[in-house]
Amino acid sequence: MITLDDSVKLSDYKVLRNPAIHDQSIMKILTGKADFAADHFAGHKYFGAIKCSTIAHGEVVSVDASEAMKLPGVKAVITADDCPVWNKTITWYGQDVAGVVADNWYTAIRALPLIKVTYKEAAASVDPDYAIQEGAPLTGILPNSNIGTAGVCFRDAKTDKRSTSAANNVFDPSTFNECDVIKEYTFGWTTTYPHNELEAHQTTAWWVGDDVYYYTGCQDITSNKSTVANALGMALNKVHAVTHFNCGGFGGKTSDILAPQACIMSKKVGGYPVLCKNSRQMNVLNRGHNFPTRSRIKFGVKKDGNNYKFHACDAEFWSDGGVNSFSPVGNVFFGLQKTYIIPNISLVAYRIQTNTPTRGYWRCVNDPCGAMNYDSAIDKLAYDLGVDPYDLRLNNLGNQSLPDQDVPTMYWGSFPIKEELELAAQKSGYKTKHKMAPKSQTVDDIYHNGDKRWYGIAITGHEDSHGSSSGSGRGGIVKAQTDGTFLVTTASARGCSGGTTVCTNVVAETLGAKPEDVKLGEWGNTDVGLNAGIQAGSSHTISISSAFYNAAIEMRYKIFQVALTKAPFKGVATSVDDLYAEDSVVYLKKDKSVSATFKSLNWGNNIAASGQGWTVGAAGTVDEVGRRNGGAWRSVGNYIKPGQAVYTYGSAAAATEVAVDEETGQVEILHIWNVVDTGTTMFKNGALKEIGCGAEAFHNQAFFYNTVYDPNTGAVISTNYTEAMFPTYMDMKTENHDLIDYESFDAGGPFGCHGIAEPCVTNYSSVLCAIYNAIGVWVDPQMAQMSADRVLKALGKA
Amino acid sequence: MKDFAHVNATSFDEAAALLAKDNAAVIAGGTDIIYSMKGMNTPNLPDTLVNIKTIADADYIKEEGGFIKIGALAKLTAIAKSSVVKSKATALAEAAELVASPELRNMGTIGGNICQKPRCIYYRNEFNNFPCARKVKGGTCYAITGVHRYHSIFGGVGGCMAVCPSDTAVALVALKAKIVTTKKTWEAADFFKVPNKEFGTARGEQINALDLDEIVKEIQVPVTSAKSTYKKWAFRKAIDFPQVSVAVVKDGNSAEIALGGVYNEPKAFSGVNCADPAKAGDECLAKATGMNTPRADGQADRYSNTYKIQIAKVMVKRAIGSL
Repeated sequence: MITLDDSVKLSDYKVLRNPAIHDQSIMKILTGKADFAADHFAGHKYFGAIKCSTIAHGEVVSVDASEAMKLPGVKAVITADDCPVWNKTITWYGQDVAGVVADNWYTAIRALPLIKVTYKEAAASVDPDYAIQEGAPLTGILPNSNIGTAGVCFRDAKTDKRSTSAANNVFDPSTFNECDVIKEYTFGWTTTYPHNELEAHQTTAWWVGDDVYYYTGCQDITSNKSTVANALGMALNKVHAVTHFNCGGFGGKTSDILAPQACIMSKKVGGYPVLCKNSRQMNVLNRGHNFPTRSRIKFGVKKDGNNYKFHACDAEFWSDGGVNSFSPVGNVFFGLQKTYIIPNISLVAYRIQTNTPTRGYWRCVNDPCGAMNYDSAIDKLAYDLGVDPYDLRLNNLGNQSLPDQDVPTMYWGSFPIKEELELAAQKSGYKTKHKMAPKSQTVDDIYHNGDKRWYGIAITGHEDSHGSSSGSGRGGIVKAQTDGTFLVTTASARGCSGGTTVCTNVVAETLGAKPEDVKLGEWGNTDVGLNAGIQAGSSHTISISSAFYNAAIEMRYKIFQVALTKAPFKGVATSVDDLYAEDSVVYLKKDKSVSATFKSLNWGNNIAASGQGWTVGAAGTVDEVGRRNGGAWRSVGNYIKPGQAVYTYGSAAAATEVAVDEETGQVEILHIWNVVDTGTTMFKNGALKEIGCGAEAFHNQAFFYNTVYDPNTGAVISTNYTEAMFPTYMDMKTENHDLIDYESFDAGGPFGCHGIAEPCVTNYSSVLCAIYNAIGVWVDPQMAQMSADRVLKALGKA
Repeated sequence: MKDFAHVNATSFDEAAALLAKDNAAVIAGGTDIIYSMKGMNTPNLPDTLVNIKTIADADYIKEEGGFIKIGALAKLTAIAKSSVVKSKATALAEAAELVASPELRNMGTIGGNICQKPRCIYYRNEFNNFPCARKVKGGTCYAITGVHRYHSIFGGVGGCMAVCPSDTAVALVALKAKIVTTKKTWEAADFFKVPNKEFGTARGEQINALDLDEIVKEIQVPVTSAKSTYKKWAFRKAIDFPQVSVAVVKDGNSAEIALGGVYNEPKAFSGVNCADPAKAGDECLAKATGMNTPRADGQADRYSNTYKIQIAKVMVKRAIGSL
């Protein structure tokens, strides 16, 4: 059982939820005042563009840039000989092979076709089903195969053994013999969906002597800086990287988008500033796509009164990693393994390598593709068993009082999935609307000749694997200002304004300052901030708020030390322990009439404090000034008793109502209810907007957008806005979309720490299950969507 | 983006003369041509854009001599809102209303909508990465062995499986409209014949039979007592090109029907008996085959477009049923 610090209550936190928004970055973006890469050296820089390979597999034999160099305005051409992050071995269509620097962007673009690249082409495996066939060409990603086991999870109830090692399979297949019912299901490929496909990724770089400076849009500026330093063989202190915005601030997800290229291009032209940016097609090619996934899932259940209990599960998942051989595909079954109690399991995830662009590192690999498979499998199982899928889910959920099923020493900081499912059911009226028999209800008789649309509803939900990722510690700095206020500074990029509000709230709460006295300082500048790791939503929020908590603890210690030397505390108080602060006023604990405002302490301009934070709470010690610390990623939990290890993941449930036109296959979303565990909602409007964005993204994935690869060349051919097809208001009416932030007091900290956009991807499966509930057949996306053509195919009409 | 010169024309004749002189193309609303210039998706891009927005009084909509006459520069929004078009050429008003989004309809002209280029995902790929038959002499159609989910279900023209993406073209064919250009007056059905013998050149990329120095001046829709409608099926409910569209002009139990999104040209069916709407749908789609080719490794065709056959049948049935 998780043990919270008994003294901690949400009501204890005065600053928590303070609506003061200190981060003006959103307004800067909206009003055009933010400084993006293109704003640097306006009118005084060159432009860089990248030429991509037009083969999927092979070698670059030669690059002839002579014609390109003749084009007026072209300043330089770079190749793999100049750019160490490039490779002459081509493993996917669209890989960088050369770059042009010109005096304007259009000249650079026009020069690209003039660069003549000669290839030695090799056979490629573009399709994942083909890639794993015997005799298929090797992709060149792995030494001797196109397939690797990327993650396993085994459990055996009798021996109480658990294993996440492929070499130690403790699963006993004979446990299926103990089951009352055994069912096996297969699912076809889910869709491929890119991250930030609409954003213009760019970097402006310039040199001053031996130092390189660059501005880029990136979530992980610390790693980005390291990538550039490594590529250029430079010391880290010679590389000066800045990013202020990411995601909505026009930035890249992955760490090294265009930064090394821009720096090398600038060096090639004598250090003159170069803005290197992607075309629309390049954006799609280089984004971190999710993994399309297919699976085989076998369940064994035991009768449990009027319901059933999971007893055994044997499943295999295959995910297409493209050229990415390091992707954490094993997480595709995370929600199945963590959300439900299944005593005996064998879950194996394979990563298939294909000669297509890299996949992974976008959203959480559990979602949407893995969840699409296993969440749907649970509904399939329920219908086959004759029980309501919602009841089957509730009857098999884990709960917070149980340790993690795979790591019994770890507990869950929060585990509100049951409450979320119940809330989704309550809000949607699921129990009165849901009928077990498909085609039992029509929505309306919409056409003149009596054509009908069938009605369906479903609820799915699971723990989300995004939100507590491992990674480097995050650093935060608190700087005292002469006027008694504080600045919070870090090298991390700004994410959403809710995330920065978390940090200012944490510092204000810990210091005893008024919320408005804590403002954002410099963020995303590696020269003035501590190394901050990746900005990644929830994990960022908890880790960097922990960092600021520790920095604020040190700052409080330092300003109290100043207070001890000044009136009215001098000679009255002897230790910082004699003081406390509230609303930017320092008080003597034993006599509140003895006080001084922060401003009146006149502490000068030289007080700064730093802290380090980690993502997941675990055992931690407390140092002499009260900072919590720990050396590993499962480290500090500020609000739990030392020694208690917890997961701080988010979770979500979604209820979806659909109407399906059986004649055309058209699916209309009638209503969606998204219930998302937010930890503590800091900035309600922002949180709901972010949940809405996540839900829309996956509504898009369910019906419209899919990265389409040409099956012959591996080229991305869905590269323009025509094919991007974000849903319009006509497709998903805002008023039919309920967004609900479910608050759970998380042992990892009360300041909000859960991913709140990613878990919405449970929509993907709830839509599929609702379609089944409407028409009684399961739609197989087959690398596209659950769009009309797939519905008609499932119905045997196409 | 390709470099280009920009010339303002003050008359259609002047514009046509400029087209004849240079490697030039017309720009009106600019919602399509700029897209191609930026993406450099074809080697046949013009060096000069001749702006015809500067031609005066070419955006009229009026009823005259038994026709609704529409100037080539009439905006799609204006056509969709025109009371005379809505009442006497309903299919055209409905088609104009369903083009793209309000912003694009406010910019786009009827002339441009019937002169846009194919929307095939291979044709549109930037830098001419896929030098298809439409753009390059001797080129292939990549959709045949590649992704053909959005392509023709009635076979190809000149080896090209792209479809006519224009909403208004379908309505104009069903309405038996005339298209007046700087050279002649076309019947709509002839106007939209794809010039397959010119494939591999700029002219061959067009969705109509216009000469490169020929400009649309006016659309003439005959006024009849027949009722008409246009229905569109796309993956999205707005800002999308039709996967299947149908225009029906119904006079008693006889209908003029045109299908869009299913063939290189609007697929016309004349004198269809529509007493039974479902049968009429079956009749129109009787020769449709779709593209459903199992992959070389024996697996099913993930990119089959046979779904369009079913949807088109239903669309015809429902369009007739709505009149």
